[in-house]
Order: sequence, then C-alpha cells, then structure tokens
Amino acid sequence: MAHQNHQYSPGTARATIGLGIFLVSLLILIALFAAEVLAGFGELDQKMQTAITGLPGISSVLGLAMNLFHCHALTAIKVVFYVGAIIGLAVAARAGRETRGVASWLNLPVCRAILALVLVFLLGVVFSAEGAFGIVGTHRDALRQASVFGLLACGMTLVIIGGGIDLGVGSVLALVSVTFSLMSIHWGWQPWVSVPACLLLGAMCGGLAGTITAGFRIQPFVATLAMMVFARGLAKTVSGGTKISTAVKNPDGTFRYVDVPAVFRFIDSRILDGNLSVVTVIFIVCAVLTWILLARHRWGTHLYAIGGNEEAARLSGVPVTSTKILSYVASGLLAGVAGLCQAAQEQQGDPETGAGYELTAIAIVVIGGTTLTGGRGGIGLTLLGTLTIGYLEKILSINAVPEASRLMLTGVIIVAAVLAQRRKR
Amino acid sequence: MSPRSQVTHAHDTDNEPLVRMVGISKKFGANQVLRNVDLEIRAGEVLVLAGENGAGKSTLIKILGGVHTEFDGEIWIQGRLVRPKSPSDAAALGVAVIYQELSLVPTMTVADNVFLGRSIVKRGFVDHDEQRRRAQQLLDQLGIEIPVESRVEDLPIAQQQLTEIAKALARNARVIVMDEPTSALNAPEVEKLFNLVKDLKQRGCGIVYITHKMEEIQRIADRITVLRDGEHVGTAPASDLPPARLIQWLVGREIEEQFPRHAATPGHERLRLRGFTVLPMHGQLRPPVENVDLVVRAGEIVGIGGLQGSGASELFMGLFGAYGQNVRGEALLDGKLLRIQSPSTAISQGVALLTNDRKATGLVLSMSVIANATLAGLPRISPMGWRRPALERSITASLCDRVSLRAASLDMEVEWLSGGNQQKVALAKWLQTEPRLLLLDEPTRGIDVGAKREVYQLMDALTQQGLAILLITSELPELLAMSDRIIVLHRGMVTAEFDRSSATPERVLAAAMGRQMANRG
Repeated sequence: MAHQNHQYSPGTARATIGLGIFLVSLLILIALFAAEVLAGFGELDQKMQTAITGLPGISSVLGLAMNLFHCHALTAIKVVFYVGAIIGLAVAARAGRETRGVASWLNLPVCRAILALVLVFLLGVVFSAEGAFGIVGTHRDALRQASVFGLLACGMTLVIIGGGIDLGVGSVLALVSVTFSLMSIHWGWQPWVSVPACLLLGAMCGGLAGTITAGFRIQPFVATLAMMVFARGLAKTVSGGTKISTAVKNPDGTFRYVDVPAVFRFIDSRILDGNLSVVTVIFIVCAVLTWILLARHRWGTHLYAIGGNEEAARLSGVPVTSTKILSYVASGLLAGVAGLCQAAQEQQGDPETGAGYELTAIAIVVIGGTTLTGGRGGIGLTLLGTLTIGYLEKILSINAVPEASRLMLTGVIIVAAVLAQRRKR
Repeated sequence: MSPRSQVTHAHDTDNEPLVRMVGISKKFGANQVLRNVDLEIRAGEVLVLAGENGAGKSTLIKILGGVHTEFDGEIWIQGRLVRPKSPSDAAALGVAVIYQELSLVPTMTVADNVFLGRSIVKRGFVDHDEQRRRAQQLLDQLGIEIPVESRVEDLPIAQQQLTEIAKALARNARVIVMDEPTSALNAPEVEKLFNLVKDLKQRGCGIVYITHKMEEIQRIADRITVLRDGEHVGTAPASDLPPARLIQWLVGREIEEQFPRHAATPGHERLRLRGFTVLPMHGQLRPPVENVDLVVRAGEIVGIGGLQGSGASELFMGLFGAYGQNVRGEALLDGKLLRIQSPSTAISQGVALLTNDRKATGLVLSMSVIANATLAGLPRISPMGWRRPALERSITASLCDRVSLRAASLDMEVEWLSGGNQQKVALAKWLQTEPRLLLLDEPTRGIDVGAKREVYQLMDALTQQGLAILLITSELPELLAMSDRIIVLHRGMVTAEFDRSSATPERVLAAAMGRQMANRG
C-alpha cells in the first residue's frame, strides 16, 4: 500500500489493449462489409464457406453455430468480430474509469453516445439482411423514419434540460396532422397559410402546457399529461373522429377522391437523386436551429441554469417563468413540424396517430445522454440518440424481427444505453 | 521546523482505543486525497478533526462510515480488524456518522426517523406505539425536547440535527462522528448540543468533531488531529495547541494578520432604508423583518449581527426582490427610489446578493465556471440575446484573477471545485454585474482559512473602490473585525447599532439576544 508506483498504471495498459481490440474488430467488420457491398453478399458468403471448410477446427464450431441459428457463414464470422469489438470496448471503458490517460475520454457523454450509435450501426453491418444494409435506400428510409421522432426529441431535449418533461407532443402531433390535412385537403388552403397556422397551433398547445406548469406551478408531468389527453380529444373533435384523407365525403354521403395536395407531395418527396428525404432535411434544419438557440443564445444558457438549479438561477436574475414557458412553446412548435411531416407521409390526418411517440422521444433524449433531472445535455447528443434508435428499428425490421421481439429488444437497449451513460464520480 | 514532524505519540497505557485507523490512503482517479493517515478515537473523549477544505477530513470520515469502501490501510474497532462495507455495516460496528447533509426523511415523523431501517415490528407490521414510546424515552434521556409525532420537515434545522443524533444513539453507537454540526445552529442551540456532547462523553462514547470554528475547538476538544492536503500533520492534546499554533498546523504558515481591513473612508450615502418591512409569508405569524432603518455609505462595510431567526437573511432577500413585492417601506439607492420587483430588477439597479448557501441557491453546480460567472450579468454581454463565447471567456478570466480563483479549467463544472473556490465563483458572478451595493450573506461559511482571508481582502479592496457592502456573518470575530459599523437585529427588528470602537462581543451578543438578555442582565 505504501509503495505507489506512478510510472506505470495497469489501467492505461488495459485501456489501450481494449481499444486496440475494438479498433481491429471494427476495421475487419468494415472491410468485410465493404467486400460484401462490392462483391455481393452471396458471392462472399460462398467464398467464406469454402475458406472455413478448409480449416477443420473452426469449421466444426462455426458450422454448429450456423446450423443452430440458421445463419450464413459470413454472418457467423462477423458475429465473432462484433463480440470481439464489444469486449474490447467494455475492457477499455472499465479501465477508463480508473485512469485519466488514454481512455478517460470514453467517459464523456458525447463519446458514449457515439459509441452506442457505432455499436448499433455495426449490428446492421453484421446482420446486413443479405446485403440490404449496404443499399442507400435502407439508410434513406432509416433516416426518414427517425426524422419525426427526432423532431419531437429536439423539443423534448429543450424541456428536459430546463428540468421539465413534455408528455403532450404525441397528441399535439396528431392534432396538427389532422388540422393540416383538413386545411390542405378539404379546405384547399395554400401552404403559405396552412403551414404557419398549423405551427402556430402547435406552439399554442406548448404555450398552454408551459403556462400551466411554469405559471401556475403544477408539476410538468401532470400539466403535460393533461395536455396529452386534451390535445388528443381536440384532434378527434377537429376531425370528427375519422381520418382526414383524400376521400372527401359529399353532402349526399358518397365519396369523391381529390388529389394529394402539392405540399404533401413535396414534404414526402426526395432530393439528391432520390437519396435523401425532404423530411430528413426538415429535421436536420430544425435540429440545427434548436442547437443554435440552445448553445449560442442567452435563452439556452438560462434553460441550462434553471434545469441545474432553479433557485440559484432565479436569484441570478434569470426570468425563470418565461424561459420555461418558451421551452414548452418550442417543444409544441417542433411537435407541430413533426405533425406536418406525419400528415404528408401518411397522406392523411389520423387523430389516433402519434400515440406513444412522446415516450420514444424521451427514450431518444435519454439514450443520447441528456439527464432527466435537467441541466445537462444537448441537441448533439439527441441527434446521436435519434440515429441510434432509428437505426436500431431499421436493422431489426430489415432482418424481419417480429414487432413483439423488436419492442422487447428496444427496452433492453434503452436500459443498456442509460447504464452505459451513467455518470461516475 | 516543519509541524509535520511534531506528531505527539500518546502512550496509551489504559485500554485499547475505540477506533484505530492506521495508514489510510485513498485515491480518486489520479488524485491522492489521503496519504498514510492515522486516526485514533478513544472512549470518553472529543477528538476534533481539523483541516482546511480539501484536506481530506470528509473522505477519512466516509471511509470510517462505510461510504468509501476502496482504500489502503487498516481499521481496528475495539481491537478487531474491520473493513466497513456500507453505512449500515459501519452502524453495526458501532460507528454513527452525522453528515452535514442530514440523512433524515423529511416527510416522516421523528419517531419513524429514529427507527428508520430497523423498525420495531409486531406480527409483520410496524408497531408505531412502541416506536413512539421508545423514541420519547430516548429523547428524554438526552434531554431533547422534540415532539416525537411531528414531521421532520416541520422542525427547525437545529431540532433536525438533534433528531439525527438521537437516531445515531438509538443504534447504540459507541463512536459518533459529527461533521460541522453547528453550521446551522444558533447560540442557545449550540449550547444544547455541547451539553449533549458532554453527556455522551460521560457515557463512554468517543466523539469525532469536525469544525472550522476556532472557538468551538477551544471549548470542546480534548485532542486535536490536523490534516493538511491529505496528510496527517499531527495529533496533540488540545492544551498543547493554542490557536496560533493550531492555525500554523492547519495552513502550514503563520497568518500574521487575519482580518485585512483598512480604515474606511465612507463616501456619500449609498443605501437608506426607512421602515423596511418584509411581509409574513408561508403562514408566518409575524413579519420576518419589521421597520428596519439603516444607512450604508459608499466604501463602507456595515455588518448585520443577529442569531438564527433574526431576519437578517430575509432583509437581504426582500431588498433584492427575491420575495417580489412582498415588502413595505422605503429603500433609496444613491438617493433614488429602489424598485423592488424581482432579482433581475435589483441586478439592473446595481444590487447584488451573495446568498448564504452557495450549493442550494448560489451556483448552478452542473454548469461551467464561465457559465456561472457570467450568469447574472449575461444580458450585459449578449447583445440581442446572442452570446459571445470569446468575450465571456476573457471576462471570466479577468474576474477569476480579481477573486484569485484557482480552477484547472474555466470549462470545468463548478461541482468539482473546492468550497472556497466555489464561493469565489459566486463572488465573481456578482462582480461581473458591477454592483453599487453588495449584500454578502455568510460569505465565508464553510470555506478554509486561506480562502477566507482572500475573501476579506477582496471585500476590503472593493470598498476602497467605493462599493458599499452589507455583511451578514454568524462568526462574531469576523463581524467585529470586518464591519465599520454593526447593526444588530433581533426577531426582525433593529435592537442596537455600534461603531467600530463601541462594538464588543458581549454587547453585540446581548443585543442579538434581544430583551430576554437585557432583562436578565
């Protein structure tokens, strides 16, 4: 105990070895994947099979695994390296907790969020669904599907950093989606009227919830729970309880079909030769704007201060009530943007849509590493969280994992991610 | 000669000490917080554990209390080699630690708290009657008058502290560690606590007492162990360590002049209060501050003396707008009527308030030094609300210079700074708003001797530049030495005013205790 040797730290050595294993596995996986994309999955799999048969020891082990899990030789090999990568990372992260050297950056929230994303992404590389993960369309769709959740998560991040929570976003999304459909399809309003009107509606919902919680000091959980129920009811009232689709009911009870409004088609379209969805662009733009407000505007700083210590913030002259209300307004506004996207993608306004989305948004924020207690986090983390959840969903779906298992797996991943994010003293 | 070699080896010929900690070392990451520290606790004595903030006192205590379980060294409790694995493990070994942050459940009753974790159970259900009876018995034995039925959150902090002690004793603790137990107590309550300590000594308990207050050390200590920078400086009987020598052990250097206050040259009238009253809130029966008149001049430090409940802090909060418009009376700042609405209006008019609890109300611990130092003055340096990070950084750097802050990085979270440095960040925040009137509520609470001195120097320098300071402090020597004038409050009203020559500890204390004292006088 008295002999402390400061020259040599076993932690640093272990961290270096762990990181080395991780990086080597990572490179091999990427190389295998690149070869697979270039040569085609079937081709490479054949070669691997032949190669394995040449090595009697390995072939029996891998062969057993292949038969057990009905997987290809190539996939089995990739699984081996994936497990290697995880073990390497775990070793490095564990060592990183004890040392200040090489691996201490592994404990930064950003790094952990990136690593979670990398691990999920590698999952796609390993289980590429016979090469489907190598196609641009897969990624485009993963990003498109994640975008609506990402929009909600950006607003949620603001509210959570300020020490609150917004359970109303899923319902507000439905309300805006219904209203937008009604305006665009039934009433034939031009987008330069309907879009601002819908965004205003979303912002007002947020403002109402914010005023109730911050102005009247009701717990945000309760106030936004009320908004969640209220906005859902309002969406059903506005829509008359039915889906607002292009099948418009005539006064005599028959249906006539109208064209999908141009604004719907635009939002649902793709740019860059069909390689990027407009919805994704909208998400990225909103995320950047939110980031600018949070990181470069006084309001964002005030939000962090309130989430970190509300009383200290108030006694430092921070306008607590208005700052908090504005965070809910922003959340409602972003839920409104998400509602527009949802309506355009579904080509209808469904008053039942978006149920449970608020929980996915919270999961994204938490997986990114923003703490639920407020005061710590950021949009960058939420962006990473969005990609993690989005890719996880996509990878499970291209591998035809049934929804039941998908939900259970997502639950497990959320816990694992939050465990990995836990702050250590 | 270095005091490090002055270890007094007490030859204990009687029985084995209650606790012997030998060669304790502890690292947090690469940071060595304890290096080969020895500690011995004997039955029937008060051992004062002294050291500046960051000296390792809390860590050492947390090792004994089973909070930190990874360490080098040995712990012997009553002759047995042990290694407390958890706080309950330590409790089973007879060690009770009363931390600064109380570990009571505020929504439960005193009786429930005393028996928390080992409830008295009858047929699978908690036997509340029995718990109440036994808790009452225990409190009676200790001479503590607390209704066992009341919920802890409804009790004043002093009674909560006593409840915590009762809880420790209910577990038959032989070793009781108290970490700055008097930081929230007023004089009569401190008396009560000291009597209790005396009583515990007679029962053969060993008491470890951590404090920053010199007067307490002199009153209560049998032996003193001093830590500095994680090392054991020495242990000596209290009689061998007069204050001057003790300070030398604590800081490793002689402090020639404890209070660097130059003679003030008061300027024009900065603040005048006429009939200032804070209206009762939250079911209070009387106004916490009533009809206060006072004047502070530019360049002057006016001290506000008073015991717990004097209303001094409420006066500051009211003046600063923290209670909104719940105040009456007139406040003039530089001859102009002070608008009292909210902290932000106060700040914009040149008033700053350093609150008495930097962790709860002063700082946002999760934010960086820069963000904290610029928080109050952010509107001044963010045109149209857009922040200018480079400007913030340079402003913070120069502020840190002024308050002699030592931080590894301006981007580090304030949470990781020592108490003294945290306080300097809070001070920097207020300097950045360029106030005309600075309200300081306990500016040196819980910070080490070196940092205290730097805060005093800063106060002196600021008044030289014409700032007016109102100072609340519960440490009498500090109040007497730093204040040019002293106003004493008792139950929200001014009971006396002294200038430097007429203020003596006895007179200030008498005025602070109000009429009761005068009657007995």
